[in-house]
Amino acid sequence: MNSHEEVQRTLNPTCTGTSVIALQYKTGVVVLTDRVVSYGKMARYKNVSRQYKVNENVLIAFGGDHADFHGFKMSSNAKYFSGNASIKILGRKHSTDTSLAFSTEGENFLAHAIVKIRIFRRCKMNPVWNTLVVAGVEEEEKNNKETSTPFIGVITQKGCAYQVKHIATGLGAYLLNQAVEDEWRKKGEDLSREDAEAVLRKSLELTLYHDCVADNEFEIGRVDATEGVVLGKEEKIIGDWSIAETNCQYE
Amino acid sequence: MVLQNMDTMRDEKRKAIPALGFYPQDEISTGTTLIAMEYNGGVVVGTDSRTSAGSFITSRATNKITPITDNMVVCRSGSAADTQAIADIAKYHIDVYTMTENKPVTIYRSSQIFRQFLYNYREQLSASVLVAGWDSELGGQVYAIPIGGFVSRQRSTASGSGSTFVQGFLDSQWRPDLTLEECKAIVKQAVGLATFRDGSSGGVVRLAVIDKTGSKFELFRPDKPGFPFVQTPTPHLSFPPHIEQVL
Repeated sequence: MNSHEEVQRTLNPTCTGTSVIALQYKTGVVVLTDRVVSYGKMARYKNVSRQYKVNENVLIAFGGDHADFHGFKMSSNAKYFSGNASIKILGRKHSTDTSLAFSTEGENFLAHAIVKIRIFRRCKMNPVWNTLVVAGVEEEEKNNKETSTPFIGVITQKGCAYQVKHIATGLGAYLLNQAVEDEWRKKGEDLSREDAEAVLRKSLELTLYHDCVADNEFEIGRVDATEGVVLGKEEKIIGDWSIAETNCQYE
Repeated sequence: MVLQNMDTMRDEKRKAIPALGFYPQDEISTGTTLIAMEYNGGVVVGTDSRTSAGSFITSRATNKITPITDNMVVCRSGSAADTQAIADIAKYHIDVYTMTENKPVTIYRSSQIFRQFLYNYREQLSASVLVAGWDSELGGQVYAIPIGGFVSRQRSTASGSGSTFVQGFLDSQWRPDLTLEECKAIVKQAVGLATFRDGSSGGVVRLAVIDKTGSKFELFRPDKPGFPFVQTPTPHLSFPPHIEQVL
C-alpha cells in the first residue's frame, strides 16, 4: 500500500454496511449479511454484496465503509489474497499474545497482515473503517477433511483481533449476540448447517425490527469443510407485524 | 458535499456519564414519512410507523396519526416527545373551544391553534406536523406546519425525512379531481416508496380517510397482502465476473 502520502480520509464513513452475523456449525461457518449500501440513513444502493471469497477456505464479510473495504482489497490483492492460505490460530504456538491472534505459516499472510495494517492506519488517524469477519475452515492435517475445524475471526477498525465461535457486529452486537449465544449453547458444536442458518435468519429478523439501516434482503454465505466457500443466494424476509394491530394512540 | 455522520457530530458533545452511559443521548425522533392529500369530499393521510433514536429503532409499529376530533387528525414528525406534548395541548384547547362555543372548531382554526404553540416556542421545539380534516365550511383540508411554525394549506404534501424521496413522485401523480380510491393508492404507494429508501421510515403503512362521516383508519402490514409494492430492478453482480458469484 502506498501509505505515507495518502490523503486523509474516512474519518466520516459515507457508504456503509451494517451488521454481520456469523456462526460456527459442525463442519463449517455460516455468515449472514444484508445487501444494502446506506448513505447516511438512506438506502442508496441495493443488491450489493458484503461478502468476499478470498480462496477456497476463507470468506471475508465486512461492515462499515464500502469504499474502504474495496480499496483495501484492491491494494492487498496480489500480496495477501491469493493462493491457498490456511489460517492457523496462533494460540497454539504463542498462547497469551492476543494481538497476534491470527497468523499463517508459509508464504501467505492474511489476518495477520490485516491486523498490522489496521493498527498502523489507526495510529495515523487514517483508519480503514471496516469491521471484518474472517470465516474459514482450518485443516489440521493436510487434506484430511475429518479434522478440519471451523474458524471465525473478528478484526475491528482499530486493529483489535480475536477469535470467536459466533459473532454479530454493528448494531447487531447489541441486539443479537445474546440471542445467538443462547442458540449456540443449546447444541454447541453439534449444530447442523440448517440449524445454524435458521438461527441466522431469526437474528436477521431482530435487526430488521430494530436497526434503521438494515434491509430485508440478505445472503447467507458459508465455508464448509467439504464444499469450500459457497456464496449465498439472495433471500428476503418480511417478519411478523401483528404488533401493529394493537397500537392505539401514540406509541 | 460533506456528509456529516450523525455519530461524529454527536461525539463532540457526548460525555461519558456513569449513570446514563453517554449524554446527550441521541434524540428520540420520528424519522418519518407523512403524506396527505385532499380529494373532493375529504382528505387521505398516510404514514409509516418507525420511531428511531440514532440508528436504533425504538418503536417499529408507532401510530403517528393522532386523532384530535372525530373529523380531524394531526400527523406528527420530528421529536417524538415534542409532537406528543403539542398534540395533547392543542387537543385540550380545541376541546375547550368546542364545548364553550357548542359547535365544532373548523380545521383552519385548529391549524392556527397548533401554529400558536409551534411558532411561539419554535426555538425549544423540533416538531413538524400536518393538520388534516373535514369540516362543513371548506370540506377536506390539509394544513402543513413545518419547523418554525409557518402554516399553509396544501392539496397534496409530504413531511418528514422520507418526504424528500417522494416529493417528485407526488408532483407527478397529482391532478385535479382525484377520486378517493386514486388518492388512497397514491398516498399508499408514496409511503411505500419513501420507506424503501429512507432508513428513518419503515414498518407498517397506516392510512386514514377523513370525510363528513368521520375518520376511518386502515393498516397495511408487510406480511399481509395490500402492502405497497416496489418493483426492484434485477441486480448486476457485485464483484467482477472473474470472481465467483452466485445471484
